[in-house]
Amino acid sequence: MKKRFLILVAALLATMVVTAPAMAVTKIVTGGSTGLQILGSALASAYGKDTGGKYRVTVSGGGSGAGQTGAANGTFQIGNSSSDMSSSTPKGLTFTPITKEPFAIVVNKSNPIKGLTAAQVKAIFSGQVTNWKDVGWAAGGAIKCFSRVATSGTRQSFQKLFLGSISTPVSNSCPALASNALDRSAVANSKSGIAFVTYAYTIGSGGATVKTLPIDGVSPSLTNVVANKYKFWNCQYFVTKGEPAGDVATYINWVRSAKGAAVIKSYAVPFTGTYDQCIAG
Amino acid sequence: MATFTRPLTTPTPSAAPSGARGDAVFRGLVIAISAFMLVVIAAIAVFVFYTGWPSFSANGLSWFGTGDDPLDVQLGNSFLGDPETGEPSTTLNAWPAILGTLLTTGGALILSFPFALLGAIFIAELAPKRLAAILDPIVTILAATPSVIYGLFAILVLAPRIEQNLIPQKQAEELSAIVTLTGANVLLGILVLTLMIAPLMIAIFADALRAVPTKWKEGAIALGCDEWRMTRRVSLRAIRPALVAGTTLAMGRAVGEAIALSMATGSIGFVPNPLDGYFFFLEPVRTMASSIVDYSEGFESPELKANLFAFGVILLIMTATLTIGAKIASRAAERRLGGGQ
Repeated sequence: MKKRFLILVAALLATMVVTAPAMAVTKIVTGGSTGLQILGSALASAYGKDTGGKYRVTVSGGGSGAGQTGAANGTFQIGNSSSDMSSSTPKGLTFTPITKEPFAIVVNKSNPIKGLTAAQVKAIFSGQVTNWKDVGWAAGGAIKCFSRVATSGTRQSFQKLFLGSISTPVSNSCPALASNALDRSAVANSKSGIAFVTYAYTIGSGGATVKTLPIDGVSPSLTNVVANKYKFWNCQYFVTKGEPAGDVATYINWVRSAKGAAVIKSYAVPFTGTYDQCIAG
Repeated sequence: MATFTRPLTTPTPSAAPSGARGDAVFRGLVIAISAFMLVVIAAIAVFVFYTGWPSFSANGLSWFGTGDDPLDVQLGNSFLGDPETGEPSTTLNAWPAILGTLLTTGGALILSFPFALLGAIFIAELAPKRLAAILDPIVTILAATPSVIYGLFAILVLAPRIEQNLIPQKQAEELSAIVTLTGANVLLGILVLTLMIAPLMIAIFADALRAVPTKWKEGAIALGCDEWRMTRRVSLRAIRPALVAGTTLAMGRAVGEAIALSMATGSIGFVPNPLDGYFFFLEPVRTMASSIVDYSEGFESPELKANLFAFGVILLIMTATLTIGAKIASRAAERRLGGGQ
C-alpha cells in the first residue's frame, strides 16, 4: 500500500520534471475582461496554428479591472481591458487598442418602440424619464432600467458614450447587475425593461431573446461602425506593463496585422490606431 | 449531539504484522492534517480581518449606520473616486447590506422551519416505507444542489411571475423615480433561500427523528398516546439538539449565500421602507455576501477591497457566533433532556 503510494508520488513528480522542459512551446499568459474572453481565445488559437504550435496563448477572465491589475503585477503578460484608463488604473501601463466594440441598447421583444435618440437614452439612464409614455410607448408604464455595478468596464464605457463622461453615474434607481448576460436576461424577462450591453450580446441565439434598438436611427452593427455612422463604440485593449517587448510584442503585432483582423472581424471591428484616437472617439 | 451517533463498527484487526507502526503513522498523519487545517483557517481569518480593517478604522461606528449616499454609490466611489474630489473614497455606511442579509436570512428561516419540521416528521414517522425511500434521496439531492441553480430558477422562472402578478403598474410608476421594482426583490430572495435551506433542515431533522429510540416511542404508545401526541411529546423533545444544529447550519448557509441572492434580490443596495406596507417585500436589497461577488471585479482599488473584506469580517463573525451559540444551545438542550428522564 505504502509502496504503491510512493510510486504514485514519484511518478507525479517525474511527469512534472520531465514535461516542463520537454515543451519547446512559449507560453503567453493573458486574461481580464470577460468581454474580450471569446475573441481573445479565438485569436490565441489562430496564433497557435499560424506559428505551427510554437506559441501557446492562454486566456482567462476576471474582468477589465483584473486585467489591468494583472498586467501591472505580472500575473498576466497581457491584460485584457474593455475600458479606458481610469483613476483606479495602476501606473506605468501601456494600452494597445485592438478593436472597436459597439455598445447597444436592448429592450424586451414585446416593446413596440422603433428606436431611441441618444438624448432619450441619456434621460432614461440618468433617471429623468421614468415612464415609457414619455418616449413613445403610451401603455408601457414604468421603465425598468437595468445597469451594471460601478466596477464594470461596460458601465464605464456606457457612461462615457451616452451620459457625457466616464464618471457620470447611471441613476441609482436602476438595479446594478453583475454581468452583461444577466442584464440581457433581465430585459428578456421584463416587458418594460431596458439595458445597455456590448455588441457581442446582441448577436446569435442569445441576442435574439431581446430587441436591439437603433440609436438616432442607426443600428449598432459592425458595418455601421466601420462606416462611421454608429458612434457608440469603445476600444478594447491589450494592456502591458511598459511598452510591449519580445514575444508579447510579436503577438500583439500579429493581432494588429491582417491575419489578426481576419479573426477579429466576426466579433468586433479591428482597430490599429492609437490610444488617443480611441479616447477622442 | 447524541442523536447523531450511530454504533461504530469495530474495525477487524488487520492481518498485516506492522499494525502498531501503521497506527502510529496514521495517527501522526491525522494530527498533522488537522493541525494544518486549523492553521489555514486561522490564516484566512487573520487575512480577512487585516484586509478589511481600513474600512472599519476609516468609518468608525458609522460603518454600521445609514449614510447620505446609497450603498451602491458608496461602493462605486470607493472604486472610481468621489465625484467631487476625484480621490477614492473610504466612506461606507453598510446598514443597507446588513439589513439585506438579516431580512433574507430571517425571512427564510421563519418560512422554512415549520415546513422542514413537518416535512421531516412526515418522512421519518408518517410516510409509508416505500414513499420515504423515494423522498429521502430527493431531499438529499435538493440539499446538495449548487446555489447557482436555485438562482437561475429564481430569475428565469419565479421573477417574471412575481413581476406580472404581484407588482401593480400604478405603484411601479409611482416609485419608478426612486427605485425600479422588478420580480427580483426581498420576497424572491426569501423564497430562493427557503428552497435552498429547507431540504437541508429536513434531512437533518429526519435523521434525528429516526435515531429516537423505538423503546421511548413504544413506551408513549403503551401509555395511551396517539401517534401525534407521541411525536410531539417524545420525538420532538428528544431531537431538540438536532433542531438547533440543523437550523444553525441552515442559517450559516443562508447568511453566506452570495450567488443565488446576487441574482434574486434585485441588485440595488436599497433600504426597504416598512411604511410601504406589503411592498416592503417587493423592494430590492443587496446582501453583504452578494455585494462581495458583485463588486469583486474592482479589487484593484484598495479602498473597495477593504470595504468588501469588511463585509467578509462581519460574515465571519456572524457565522462563528452562530456556530458557537448553537453548540452551547444544543448542549443545554441535551442536558435538559438528560435531566428529564
